[in-house]
Amino acid sequence: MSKKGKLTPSKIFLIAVTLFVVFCFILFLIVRHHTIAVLTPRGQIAQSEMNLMKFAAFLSLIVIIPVFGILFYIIFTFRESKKSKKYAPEYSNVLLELIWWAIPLGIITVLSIVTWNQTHKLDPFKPLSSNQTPVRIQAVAMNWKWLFIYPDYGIATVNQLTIPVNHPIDFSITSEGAMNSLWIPQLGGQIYAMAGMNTQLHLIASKPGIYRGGSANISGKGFAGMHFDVSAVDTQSFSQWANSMTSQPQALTKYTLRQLSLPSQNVSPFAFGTVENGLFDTIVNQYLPFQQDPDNGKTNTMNGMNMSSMEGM
Amino acid sequence: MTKVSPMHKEIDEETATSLLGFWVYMMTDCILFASLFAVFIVLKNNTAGGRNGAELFSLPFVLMQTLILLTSSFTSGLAMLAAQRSRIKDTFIWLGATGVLGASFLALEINEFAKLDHSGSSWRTSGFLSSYFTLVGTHGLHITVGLLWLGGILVYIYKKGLNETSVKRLTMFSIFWHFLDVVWIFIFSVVYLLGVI
Amino acid sequence: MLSIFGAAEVPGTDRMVLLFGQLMVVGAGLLIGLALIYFKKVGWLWKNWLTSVDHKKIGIMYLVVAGVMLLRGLADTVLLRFQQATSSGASHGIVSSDHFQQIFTAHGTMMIFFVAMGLVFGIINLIVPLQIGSRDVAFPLLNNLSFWMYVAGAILINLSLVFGGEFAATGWLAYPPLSELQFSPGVGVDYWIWCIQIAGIGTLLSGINFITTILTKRAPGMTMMKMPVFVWSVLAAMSLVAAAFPILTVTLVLLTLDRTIGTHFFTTTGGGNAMMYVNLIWAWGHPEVYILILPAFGIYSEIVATFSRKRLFGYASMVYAIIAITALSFVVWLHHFFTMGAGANVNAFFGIMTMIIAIPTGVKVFNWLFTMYRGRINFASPMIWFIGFVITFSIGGAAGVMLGVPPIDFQLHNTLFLVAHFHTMIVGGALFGYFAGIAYWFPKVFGFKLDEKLGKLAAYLWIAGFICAFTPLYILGLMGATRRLDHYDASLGWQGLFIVAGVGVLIILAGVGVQLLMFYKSIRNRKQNMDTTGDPWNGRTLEWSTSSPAPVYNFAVIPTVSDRDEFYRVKQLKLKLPKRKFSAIEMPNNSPFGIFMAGWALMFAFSVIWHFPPTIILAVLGIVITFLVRSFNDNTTYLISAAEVEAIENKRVGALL
Repeated sequence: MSKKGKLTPSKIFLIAVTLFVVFCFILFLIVRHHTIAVLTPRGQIAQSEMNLMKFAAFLSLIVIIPVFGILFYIIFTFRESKKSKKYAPEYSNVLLELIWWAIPLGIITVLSIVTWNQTHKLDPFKPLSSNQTPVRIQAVAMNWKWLFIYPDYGIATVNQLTIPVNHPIDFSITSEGAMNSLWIPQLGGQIYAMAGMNTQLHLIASKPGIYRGGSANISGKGFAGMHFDVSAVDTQSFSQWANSMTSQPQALTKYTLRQLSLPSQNVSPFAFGTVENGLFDTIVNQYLPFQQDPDNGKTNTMNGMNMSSMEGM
Repeated sequence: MTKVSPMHKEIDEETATSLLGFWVYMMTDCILFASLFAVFIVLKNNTAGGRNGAELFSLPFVLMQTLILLTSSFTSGLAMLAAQRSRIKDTFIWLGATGVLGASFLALEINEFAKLDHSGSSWRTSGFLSSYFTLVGTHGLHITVGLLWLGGILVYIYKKGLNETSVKRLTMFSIFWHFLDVVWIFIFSVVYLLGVI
Repeated sequence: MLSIFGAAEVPGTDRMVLLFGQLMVVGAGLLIGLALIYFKKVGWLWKNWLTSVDHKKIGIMYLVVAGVMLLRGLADTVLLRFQQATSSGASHGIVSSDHFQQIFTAHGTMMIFFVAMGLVFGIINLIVPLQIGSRDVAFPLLNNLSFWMYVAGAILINLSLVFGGEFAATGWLAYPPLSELQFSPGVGVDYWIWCIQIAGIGTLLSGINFITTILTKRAPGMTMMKMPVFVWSVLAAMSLVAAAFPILTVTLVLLTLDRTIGTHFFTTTGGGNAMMYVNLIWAWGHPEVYILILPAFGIYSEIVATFSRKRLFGYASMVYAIIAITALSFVVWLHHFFTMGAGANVNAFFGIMTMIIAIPTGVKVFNWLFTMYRGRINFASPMIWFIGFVITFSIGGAAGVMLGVPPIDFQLHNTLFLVAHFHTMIVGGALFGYFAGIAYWFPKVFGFKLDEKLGKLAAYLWIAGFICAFTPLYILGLMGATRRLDHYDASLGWQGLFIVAGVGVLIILAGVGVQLLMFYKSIRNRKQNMDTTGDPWNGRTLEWSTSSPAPVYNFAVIPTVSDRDEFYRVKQLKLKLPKRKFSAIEMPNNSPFGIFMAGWALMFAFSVIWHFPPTIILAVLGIVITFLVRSFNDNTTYLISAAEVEAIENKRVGALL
C-alpha cells in the first residue's frame, strides 16, 4: 500500500484485500490453540448470551454488507476519471431516503423486541429454575483479592471457587472498598461489586472443568492479580470438597476479616474452615448510608440500591 | 485605528446578541443547579446517623430569608425601570437597596451555616448535609458574585453614566438576580419545606 | 512539598520512564522559550497571536496545541502497548502497575480533552464564522478566554509529571470510591480533576459562544434549513456542550469537595453514594462522545459533496438525523453501566434507546454513499480518510449495537472488546474526520495546499495501522481479557495478539511521521502549492468565496444567501465580479484578558491541588480585578476604513487575475 509508483484504485484495493487476508490468517495462527472464552460457553447463561451476540452480529451484517458493497461499487463506477455519463450534480431521491430510514428501523425494531425479552430472561438478579438445589456463594471484592463465603457450608475461600456442575450458583456480591466486577466469562456475564450494596448474579455450569474468573473493573494497584480459577465438579466431588475444607485450621471472623482486608496483591488461593455467621451482612451494612432502625434489627440488604430514583437525572 | 462612534442600529444588534448569549449561559446555570438538586434528592435520606432536615431547619427563619430575597428582586426590577427612563438617581437608590437586601440575605445564610456547623452538623457529618451545604452554598456563591457585579455596575454608572453598555449590563444583572430568586424558591420548597414536613 | 523528580520508591525502569517524561516536558518548554527569545519573537507572538481575538488565529492555536498533545498522548500509547506486549508470565514489563494505571489514565484524559476537543474547537473556530458569512464569532474576547482555559488545562496535565510526578491511577473517569482520598491519597486525582475542570469551563464558554454565533451571526438569507450541514452539526454539538458540561463541572466540584473538605458525596462511609457519581459522569460522558463525533459527521458531509461534485444527498434527512442523535444522546447514559444491576426494565429501556441511535446514524452513512452515487468523485486525501471512516465506523457501529444489548454487554463490558469499540468510534469516526477536515480546509486557512501524496500515504498508514492495532483487541476481549491489565498469565495465549496490536501502533506512528513530514514539505514548498483563487477544491459553501487566507474581517461585503450551496450557485451563474462599494469595518481589539484570566485559573487550581491558601486568595483576587479592569475598558474595537478595505480587496482581485 505504501509503495510509490503508479497505483490505480483497483490495485490499491487488491493490495488492501490481500494484506487483510494475510493479516487475518496471522491472527488465526496466533489464536488457534487458545480458548476464546466468551465464544466457548460452559453454562446455560453464557450459552444464551453467546447466541444473542451471534444474532445481533447477524442483524448488523444485513446493513454492513450492503454498505461495503455500495461503497466499493460507487468508488469504482463514479471516479472522476471514468467520466460517467450518469453524472447528475443535483441528484436526489426521496424514495431511496425513505428506504434507508425504513431498513434500519425494521432491524432495530426486531432487535429491540429481542432485547426487551432477553434482558428480562437473562436478568442476572433472577434466580435460575432448576431441579437441583442452588448453592449460595457470597462474594466480597477486597484490595486485591476475592473472598467467597459458602454460608450453607460454613466455609470460605480466597481467590478460588469450587462449584457443583448443573446446580444453580446464587452469588451475592459486595465490595470492601473500591468498585470491582465479578466476571467468569465461560459461565456468564459480569456484575459490579460495590461497597454498601448487595448485587446478585445467577450462573450455572453445565460441564466440569476449570474456568477463569476475575475482576473486570479497575480497583487499584493489585487489580490485574484479582483473578481466580473456578473448578466446576460433579455434585459428589463438590460435597467431598466442602467437607474436606471444614478441616482447614483458619477461621473467618470479624478479626481475621479485618486482617484479610488489608491490601495485598496476587494472593495465592487458601481457605477458611469455619466462618462466623452473618459476616457478609456485616460487610454490606457497615457502609449503609442511612440510620438503621435499632428496634427492627433486621439487616437491610438492598438490591443494588433504588436505581429508579436516579432515572430522572 | 480610530475610536468608533456608536451607530445606533449596530449597537442594538450587538446588545441583542449579548442578551441571547447571556440567556444561553443562564440555561447552563440552570442545568448546574438541576444537577445539584438531583444530588440533594438522592442523598436526602443519607443522614448516616446525623440529624435530618426536620431536626435542623427553622421555617420562619428561612421564610424571612425568602422575603428579603424576593424584595431585592423587586427593587432590582425598579432599578431597571429607572435606568430605562434614564433616571440615574432612582437607579442608584434601587440598586443600593438591592445590594443591601442581597447582603443581608447572605449574612443570614452565613449565620445559619455557622450555627449548623457549631451545633455539630457540618458538611462532614453526612451525605445529606454535604449536599445541603453545597446546594445552598452554591446559591450563596452566586449571590456573592451578583453583589460584586452589582458593585462594579454601580461604580461604572457613577463614572460613565447611563449609556448603552451600562443599561445592557444592568439588564443582564437583572436577569441573573431574578434567576437566583427562582432558584431560591426551589431551594425553599425542595430543601426546607419538604425537609421539615 | 514539591518532589520535583518524583517519588523515590519508584523502581528502576519505572523511574527512567518517569524521568524521560519529565525531561521531555521541561526540555520542550525550555526549547520553545529559548527559541522565542533567540529569534526575538516574544513580542510578535504576544501581539499577533496570544492576545488575538480573531477566530482564525485562535483556531490555528487550538490545532497547534492539540497537535502537540497528540504527540504526548501517542508517547503514552507506545508505553501502554509496550507494557502489555511484554508483561506476560514471568516478565512484568517496563513499568509498575501503579505507573501503568497512571499512563492509561493520562492517555485517555489527554486524548479526549486535549486532543479531540482541541481539534474539534480548532476546526469549528476556523470554519464556522466563514461558513455562515460572519466577520467573527459572537463574543471574540470570550473565545480567546476559552482557548486559554483549554491551554491552562493542558499545561496542568503536563505539570503533574514535573511537580509531584504523579497522575490519577483510576482510569479516565476516576470512579469513586477508588478516586476518593481513602484509596488515592496522592495529588494525582487532584491534577486530573483540575486539568479537566479548567478546560471544561473553557469548553462550556465556547459552547455558549458558538450557539449564539450560529443563531445570530448568519449572513442575511441563510435560514436554518440553508445552513451547511457542518454548521448544523456544530450547533448540535454545542447544544450538547451547553447541556452536558455543567453536569461535569458539578460532578468534579463534588469530588473535589470530598477530597479537600471532607464531604460525603461519593465516599463509602458517611452516607456517600458512589453510584451517583457514575450516573452523573456518564450523563455528561455520553453526550461528550457525540460532541466529538457530530462535528466529524459535519465535516464528512462537506467533503463528500465537494469531492463528488454533487449536492449533498438528503440534506433534510441529514439535519433530522443530527437532531435525533442529539436528543437521544441524553437518554442512553446508563448503557455505560448495565452491569451495575439496575433492574431489567431500566436496562432494557436504555439498551433500546441506544440501538435507536443506530437508525439516524445508518441513514447518514447511506446519504453520504448516495452523495457519491452519480457524482464525479475526486479521490483527494480527505476522501481517503472518508473511506477509511466508512469501513471502520460500520464495524465499530455494529460492535456498538451489540454492546447496547444488556445481556451481551454483561459479557463484553470493561473488556478490550469495549476498548476496541470506542477507539473505533473516536479514532476511526471522529479523528479521521478531523484529519480530513484539516486537509480540506488547510488551504483556506494558510493559503496553500498540503502535499497530497504524503497526505494520502498518511491516511493509508493510519487506516492500516488502526485495523492492525484494534482487530486483535476485539478478539482479546472475546478471549476474556479485561481492560487496564498491567500483567497477565502466559498460559492465556494473549501475548501474540498484544504484540500484533503493538505493531499496529508502530504503523500508526509511521503515519504520524508522514503527517509531520507532510507539514514540513508543504510549508517548504508552499510557493508551488499556493491557492490564489481562494477556491482550490471547487467548493460549494461560503468559506470558499473569500480569499485564502481570509482577511481579518473575512468578508469585505457580507454576502446575501439564497441557496444551501450558495457559492456553488454563484459560480453556476458565472457572474462577473461586480464593482463593490466598501464601507468601514469595525473589528474587536486584541486583549490579554483571556491569558490573564486563564493564568489566574491555573494558579488557583495549582494552589488547591497543593493546599496552599495564600495563592488561592491571590488568584481569586486576580480574577475579580482582571474582570473589573476589563469592564471599565470601553476602547474595545477599532475601525478599518473603507479605503483600507478596498486596498486589501484590490490586492486580492489582482491575485485572482
